[in-house]
Amino acid sequence: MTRAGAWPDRALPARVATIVLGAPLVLAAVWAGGGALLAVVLVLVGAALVEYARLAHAAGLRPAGAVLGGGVAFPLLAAWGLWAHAGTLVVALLVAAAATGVWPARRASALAHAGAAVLGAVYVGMLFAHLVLARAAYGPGPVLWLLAVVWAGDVAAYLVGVRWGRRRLAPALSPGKSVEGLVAHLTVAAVVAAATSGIVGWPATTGTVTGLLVASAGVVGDLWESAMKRSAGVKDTGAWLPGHGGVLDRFDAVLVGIPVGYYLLGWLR
Amino acid sequence: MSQAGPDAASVAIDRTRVPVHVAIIMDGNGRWAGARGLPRAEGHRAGREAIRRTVEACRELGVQVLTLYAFSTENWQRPPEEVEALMRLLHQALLEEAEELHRAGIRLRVVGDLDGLAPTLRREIAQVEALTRHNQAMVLNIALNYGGRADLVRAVRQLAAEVCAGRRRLEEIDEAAVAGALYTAGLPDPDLLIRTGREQRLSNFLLWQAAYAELYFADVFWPDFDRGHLLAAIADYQQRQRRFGALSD
Repeated sequence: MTRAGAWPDRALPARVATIVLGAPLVLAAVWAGGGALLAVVLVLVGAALVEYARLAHAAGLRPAGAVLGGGVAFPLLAAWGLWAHAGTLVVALLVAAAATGVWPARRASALAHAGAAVLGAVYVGMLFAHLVLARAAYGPGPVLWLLAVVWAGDVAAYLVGVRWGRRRLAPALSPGKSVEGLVAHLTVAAVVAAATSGIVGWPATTGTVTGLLVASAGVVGDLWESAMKRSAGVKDTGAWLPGHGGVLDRFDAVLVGIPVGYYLLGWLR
Repeated sequence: MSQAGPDAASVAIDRTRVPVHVAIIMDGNGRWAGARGLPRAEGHRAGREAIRRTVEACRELGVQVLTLYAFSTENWQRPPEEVEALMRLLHQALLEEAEELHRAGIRLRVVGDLDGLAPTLRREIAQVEALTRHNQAMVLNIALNYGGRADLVRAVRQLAAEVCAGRRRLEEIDEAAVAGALYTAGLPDPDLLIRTGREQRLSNFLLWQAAYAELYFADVFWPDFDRGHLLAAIADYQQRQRRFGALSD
């Protein structure tokens, strides 16, 4: 998505540097799969959970660390072929949230605290785990394809938004995003998906439709992350990645786009 | 269920005593997919990758015959969509892999009741069999619409017909005659029979031929089966004493 006028251009070099240095690391991990990918995903999940906890605290919520930390188990289940037990883990998280929810510090707004804890573990851990799942199920090609579709749209939205963005998409949510950026996002994602659909063994039409759905899911992920930040009253979720804010800022679209792509690839192929 | 097999480099096998004929019951595609929230067809697709790996590994190890149980006479009882997806996948695999099989010097043979298959698939099978018939590196034997009992019934009928027609005397029906009337005529009996998934049964596979096969059950779903699992199975096989009913000396 795009950050139009709100983002000064001086953020660009750091942003570019992060993409140039960071993206190859993630791409290489996806290519290698196995332990390398799991390690990278675990680091990302860990960092994102810390950011999420900070975000929640800024919003006045007190998610239990034990519940949030449980989110780390999702990528492990995915890597060990135990994804059938993901539901069990969700139940365990709910039980843990209930157990920690009766603490005096959380009793007052029990629902909000417990909900924030389970959501964080599931949002960060369960969604990130799909990167591992997709790599194990489909091999590197289709996962790189999904990432390319999500990121190409993201970059196009940013570049077009900075230069031509006029009409604001969601001023209350994320003032930097423009309608022009959104159009560029979906168009470029569709074009990239169509041009490279051979990677997943699809004709261009199916590739385009899937690419649009995955890119749209990415937009939802981006806006949702903005909404979370807005509700907490912060601008960036962290400063791990220069120019990008935190891991959540950079992977917001991937977090929602990859799981949607994972299931679409399974059902449409 | 463990996903990765033993590290292929760490399993030592005796290259001079590799089983001549390896037969595999490829079980667990559907459960592999189910465990990942994916449709069963995606499991079959991933299973195809496992086949590719296994064929390559067997050829490289010097296995002479590899028999794969792809689709049994009982599999027709599965949901029509799944049967259709499986058949489509088979057809597609045949079209796409034929060239490579031929280049690798692999001879393709399909055993089973082919009359039950779609005519286009049958034609494709006949073409690939004809294309690869003189290849020597390895026989890739695909059991398709195959059932061990049906195999025996067919052989019995054929022998009985020959007796009725006066072309064969009753006393001439011996083990060799029965073996020669089976789909697998001309192929050696399997030495090692591997089954993936968690089941431990023959499921009507090569009932006659597997009389003395060493059985090995790999604790993985078929799509996760790799070179490491194959080597582990062969190493296990090489540690067994094969006596064929006799006493060891």
